Amino acid sequence: MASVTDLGRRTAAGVGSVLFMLAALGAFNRALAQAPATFDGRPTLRIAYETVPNPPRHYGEGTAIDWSRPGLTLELLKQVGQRLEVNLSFKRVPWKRGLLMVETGETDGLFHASYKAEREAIGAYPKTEDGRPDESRAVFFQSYMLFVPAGSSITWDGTTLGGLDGRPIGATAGYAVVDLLERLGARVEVGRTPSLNFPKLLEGRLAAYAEIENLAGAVIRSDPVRYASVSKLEPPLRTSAYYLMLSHRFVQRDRVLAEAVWDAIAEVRKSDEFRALSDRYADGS
Amino acid sequence: MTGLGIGGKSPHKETGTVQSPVTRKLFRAAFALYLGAAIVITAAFVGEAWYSARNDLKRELSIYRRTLEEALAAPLWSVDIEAATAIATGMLEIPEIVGVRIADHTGTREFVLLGAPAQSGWFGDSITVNFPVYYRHAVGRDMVGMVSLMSSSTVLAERLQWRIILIIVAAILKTAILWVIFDRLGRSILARPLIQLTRAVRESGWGRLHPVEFDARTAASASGTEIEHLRVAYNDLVSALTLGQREFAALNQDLETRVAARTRELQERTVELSAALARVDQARRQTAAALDAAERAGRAKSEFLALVSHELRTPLNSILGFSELVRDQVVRGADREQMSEYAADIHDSGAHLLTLINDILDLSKIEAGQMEIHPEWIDPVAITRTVVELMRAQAARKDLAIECRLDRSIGPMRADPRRFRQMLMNLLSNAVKFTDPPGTVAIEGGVTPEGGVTIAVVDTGIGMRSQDVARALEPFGQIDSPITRSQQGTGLGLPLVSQMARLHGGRLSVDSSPGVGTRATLWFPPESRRNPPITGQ
Repeated sequence: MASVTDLGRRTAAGVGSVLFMLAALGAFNRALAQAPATFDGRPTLRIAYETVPNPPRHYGEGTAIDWSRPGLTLELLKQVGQRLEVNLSFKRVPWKRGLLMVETGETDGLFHASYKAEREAIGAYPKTEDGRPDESRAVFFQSYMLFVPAGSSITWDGTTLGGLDGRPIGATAGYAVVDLLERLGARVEVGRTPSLNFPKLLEGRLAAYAEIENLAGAVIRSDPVRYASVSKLEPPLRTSAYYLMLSHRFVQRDRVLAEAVWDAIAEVRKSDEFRALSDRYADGS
Repeated sequence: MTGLGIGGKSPHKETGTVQSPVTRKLFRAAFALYLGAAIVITAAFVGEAWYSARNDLKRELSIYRRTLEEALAAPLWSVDIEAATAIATGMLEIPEIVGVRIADHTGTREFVLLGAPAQSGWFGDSITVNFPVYYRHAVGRDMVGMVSLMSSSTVLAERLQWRIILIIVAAILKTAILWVIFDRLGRSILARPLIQLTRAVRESGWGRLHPVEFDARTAASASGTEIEHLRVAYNDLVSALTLGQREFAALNQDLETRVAARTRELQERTVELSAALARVDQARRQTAAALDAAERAGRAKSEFLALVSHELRTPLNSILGFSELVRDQVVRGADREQMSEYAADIHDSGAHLLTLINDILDLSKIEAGQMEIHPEWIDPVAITRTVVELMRAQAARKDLAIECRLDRSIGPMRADPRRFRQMLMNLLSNAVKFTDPPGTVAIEGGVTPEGGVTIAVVDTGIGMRSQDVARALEPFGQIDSPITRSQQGTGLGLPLVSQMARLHGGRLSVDSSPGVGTRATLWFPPESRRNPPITGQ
C-alpha cells in the first residue's frame, strides 16, 4: 500500500498548495481539501473501495482519488480516523477484487457492502447483540431502483415484477441486487458499470435496468438529454444498509479497534460537522 | 556372434577347434565397449534433443505468455473469472498448451484450471511456464494473478519422435557397419595369418619342423604386424631348432660311442678286478692253507716226535729186557735153547728197530725233500715176482699163499728199482700182516687203457673203514687202532709207499671194507712206459 500512501502524499502536496491559498482566503475547511494525514506510531487501517463512482458517497472513475472532492464516505472515514487516532490508507479496486482482498486480509476494510449471509465468510459486519447486522452502525443507506425506458410495460408493485416477457433485466456484476432479481424470477444480464449498462437499456437490449439510485442518477445527470426518456419505477426494489466490511483477519487481530471503528462511523454520521459536510456535497453535486 | 564367424570354424580339423578365437574375443570386447559407448552417446543425443526441444517449447510458451499477460490483466484486475476462463479456453486451442491455471496474485486461490493439471511424467517435470499478471492503472501497477501455462511430454514426444528414430537408426547402422568392417578386417589381418601360423606350429609339434610362409594375400595383410614378427621369430626358432637337432644328433652319436668305449673299459676293468680279486682270494686261501699246513705240520711233527719216541722205546725195551735175561741166564747157566730164543727176540727187536729207523729216515728224507729217486728201466714183473718170493716165507708162516697175477704186457718201465721193491714189500707185508688164514693175498698188475701201469695188492684181511683209510695213509696212522697194535707194524709203511709213488709221478689208492679186505693199488703214469729202450727181449 506504500504506492497508495505515496500517491496520497503527492496528491496532497499538489492539491495542498492550491488549498493553502483557499484556506488563506478562509473559503475552505482544511479537512475537506486534504488526504488523511498519517502519523508515526499509529496503526494504519487499509480501506478499499470501488473504481466506479457512487456520488455522493465517492466520486471519479478508476483508481485515482480526488482528494478535493473524494465523497462523503471518505470524509466520514477521515473523521473516524481522526477520532480513533489511526492512520488511513485508501485504495480503489474493482468490487470483486475488493471482496477478494478483504477475504484474504490484504485490506482491512471495504465499502460499501450490503449484508449478505454468504459474505460472512468473506468479511465481518457490525452486529447487534442478537447477531443481526447492526444498521445503526452502517455507513449509509441506499436504494436499488428499477429504471425503464419511456412507455415500458414493466410493472413493479414492491413485491412482483411484471411485463418482462422473458427479456433480461440489467444489473452491475457482483451487486447484491442480482440475487434479488433472480429470486423475483427475472433473467439477469450483468454488466460491468452503469455507464455501460444504460446504453443497453436505451438500445432495447434490456427490458429494465436495476441500479443503485445514486449511481443511476449520476449517469443520467451526466447526459440528461440522452437519458431523458428513462424513468424510475417506485418503490425501490430494495433499500439496503451499506457497511464498512472489515476483514476477519483484522477483526481477529484487534476486535476492540474494529468495534470502535464501527461505533465511530455511527457517531460521525450523527455529528453536526458531518451533516454540514453532507449538505455541502449535496449542494456542490 | 555366430554370424560373425571369425575364426570360429576356420581352423582345420587337424589343428583342433579353437574354442574362443582371438578375433571373436577382440570383437566381443570391442563391440561391447562400442555398444556401451554408442548407447551412451545416442542417449546423450536423445537427451540433448529432448532438452533443447523442451527449452524450445518453453520459449514458445513464453511467447504466449506476453499475449496472455495483456489479455488477462483487466479481467483479473476486476476478478472477472468468466472472462479469464474464456481467454484460457482460447489458449487451449493452441496445440502446445495442454493446460492453463489462473490463480490470484498469491498463487493460492485458483480461479481457473483448464486441461491437464501439472504433473510429473516419465520424461521429467511437465513443461510449465509460470508468470504473474500485472494490471497498470492510474496510480500504479498491481499484481493481479498468477498464470501457469502447461505443456506436456507427450507434445515433446510427438515433436521429437522422428528425430529420435533417426538418431537410433543412425546408431544401429553405424554399429552394423562397424560389425561388418571388423569382421572383414578381423578375418584378413588377424584370423587367417594366425590360423596359418598355428597350423605350422602344430605340424612342427609332430616333428615336421619347417618355416612358415604366408601366401601373398595373407602376407600383404600381415605385413608389418606383430603376426609377421611372430612368423619371422618362429622361423628363426625353427632354423635354430633344426641346427640344434643336428648338433644334438651328432653329440648324441659321439656320446653313445664314448659311453660304449667307457662301458667296455669298465667291463675290462671289472674282469681284471675280478681276476685280481680271485687271485687275492686264492693267495689268501693259499696263505691260509699254507698257514694251516704249517700249523698242521708243526703239530704233526710234535705228535710224530712223540710217536717215534714211543715206537723206538718199545723194541729198545725189548732188546734191553731180553739182553738182561740173557745176561742173567749166562750167570745162572741157563739152557742154550732158552738163550737162543732170547737172542732171536733181541734180533727181532733190533731188526724191527732198524726197519723203524730206516722208515723214519726215509720218511724224513721225503718230507725234507731230500729223497732222490734214481729211475731206470726196470722189469716190474720180474721185480714183483722176486718180492713175492721173498715174502712167501713170511706168508707161509701164517699159512697164507700169495697169488701172483701179472700181465706180461706191462713191459719195462722207468722206476727206482730199490724203491719199487720197497713199495711192493711194504704193501705185501701189510697184506700178510692183516690177513689171517684162510684169507688170501694176491698181487695183480696190468696196463690201464690210457697206458699207465697198475700194480695192486689185494687181501681178504680185516679191512678198514673208509675214514680209516685216509688216516692209514698218514705216518703212524695205524697206531691208535687196537687191532693193528698187535700186528707189529711201524705205521709208516703206507705213508712211505704213498710218498714214493708220488716221487715216481704216480699215486697210491686204497679201497677197503672192514671184514672184506683191502685193495692197495699203485698207479704209474703212461710216461713211465714211454720210449722204452730197445732190448734184446
